[in-house]
Amino acid sequence: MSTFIEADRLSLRYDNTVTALDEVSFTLTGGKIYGLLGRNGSGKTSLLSVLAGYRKASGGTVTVGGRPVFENAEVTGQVCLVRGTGDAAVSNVKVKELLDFAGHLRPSWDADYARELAELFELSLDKTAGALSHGRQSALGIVVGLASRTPVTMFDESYLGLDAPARYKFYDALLAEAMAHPRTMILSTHLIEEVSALFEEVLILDEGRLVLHDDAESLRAAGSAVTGDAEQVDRFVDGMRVLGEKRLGRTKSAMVYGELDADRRAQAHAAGLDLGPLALQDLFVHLTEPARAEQGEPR
Amino acid sequence: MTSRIAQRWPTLRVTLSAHLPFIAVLWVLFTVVALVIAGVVGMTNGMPDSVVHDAATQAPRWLLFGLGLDLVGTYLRLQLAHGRTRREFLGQAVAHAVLISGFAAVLVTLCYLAERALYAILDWPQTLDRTGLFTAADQYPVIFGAYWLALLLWTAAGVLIGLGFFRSSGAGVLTIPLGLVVVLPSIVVVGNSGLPFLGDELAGVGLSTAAVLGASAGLFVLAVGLAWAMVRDVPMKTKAP
Repeated sequence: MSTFIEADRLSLRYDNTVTALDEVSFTLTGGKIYGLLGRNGSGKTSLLSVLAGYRKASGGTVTVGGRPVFENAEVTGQVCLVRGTGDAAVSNVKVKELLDFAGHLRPSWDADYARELAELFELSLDKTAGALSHGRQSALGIVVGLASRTPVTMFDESYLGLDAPARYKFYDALLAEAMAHPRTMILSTHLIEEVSALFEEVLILDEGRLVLHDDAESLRAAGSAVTGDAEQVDRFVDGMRVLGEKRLGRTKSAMVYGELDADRRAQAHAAGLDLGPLALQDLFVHLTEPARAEQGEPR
Repeated sequence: MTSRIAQRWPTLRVTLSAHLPFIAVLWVLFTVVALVIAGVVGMTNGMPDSVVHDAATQAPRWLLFGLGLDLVGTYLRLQLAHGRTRREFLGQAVAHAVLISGFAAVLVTLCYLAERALYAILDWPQTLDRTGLFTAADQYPVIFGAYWLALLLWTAAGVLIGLGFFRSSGAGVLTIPLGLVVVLPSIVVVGNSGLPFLGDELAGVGLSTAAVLGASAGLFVLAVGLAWAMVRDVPMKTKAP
């Protein structure tokens, strides 16, 4: 099935008063890992919920493979969304039964892979989902998402409660899965720096609107991290758009937006400054800071 | 269940595999407790009316009502999370309600049989203190049919109210009186109200069997229609953390 995802002027309002999504339009060609970023309340979960058919859009359209999603079994069967610890983690049902249910309900379910992942995340199959720690519940959601083997798989802050080693297990498993069984994966996360290396394309939402959609490499090349002696850095970035700064003793690192031409790069080299790629997190903070919206600055 | 049916009715397979064993376990418990109570009452106060009848006209319907609620509260979210649609869910939920109420009706009928055997050993007559569509404790086909119908209505009411609360607390509260209306014929069917505000006057209202069956069918269809109106575009909200 084609996993070409198209949203056209997609809107979602709650109780006809709160606008969660405001005419969001984008096209995802599929077969990649997408990062969906945004501040709290920016509309990430709402967008993913509409993409998975969990909610009906208030306006606009969303299609997967050219077909509408909502109440379309041919499409929803090919889409899996894990929100937080996962909606499939029914608290009073044993983990083993939940995985069995998934096997009955999902034609694409891989039971062997699910057991393998359950072992990886040290899940007790005989415990009820409600008896698991928060981190293990998140791990159960991850197992459900990865083992679903659906052409479109989405994780919405599924790392919540996971400790750092478990999170890295998740990223490794996700990458291995994406390589072994290429599919469209969308990750919504606040841990941008931790996951950004996985992203092939990035979408940033702010206050229900899509403020950026670009491939990750282009974004990293859209600016630079200038690092070196503080005075030299200040002199070099003077007049440039600085997204953020970090300082340790006399060493300073400034994130600047905008491409540096060969002359500027040569100047940096002559001044003993290091030039690195732009951190996605700094770009994200810059694009979504409230002051920009209040000033009406174009994004 | 054959694998072909399981593939065509995956939702039904999941819900039945959860609810049927639960009903069977509770039935064993119910039967043992009812027969022990009958024995104790008989030994201390003389020959009792059918204890199974007294208990079966009240307890099983609350179980089936609860399973109707559970069908929505537990399994609707699970179905949607695994890519199933609301339409699929409701279609298979209706089939589920018919099957579990029928299964429970078979077990309740077996209770009457078990009690008859006990009473026969003790040489007691198995009499009914109230009557509905059936007037004697050995009218097994009618007993089975009456309970199937009554329990089906209670399951449907559970699904209806469950869907109301799945939508919102407000909608849930509004569906409670609707659920109450849906189960009204069951009072006439088994001849026992068992509800706090509806006395046994309704049980003795004297409706014909055809009228009761017609009202039951109409209310069941109404319940399914209302359930569809509520579920067809219901959003699946995020779970509380």
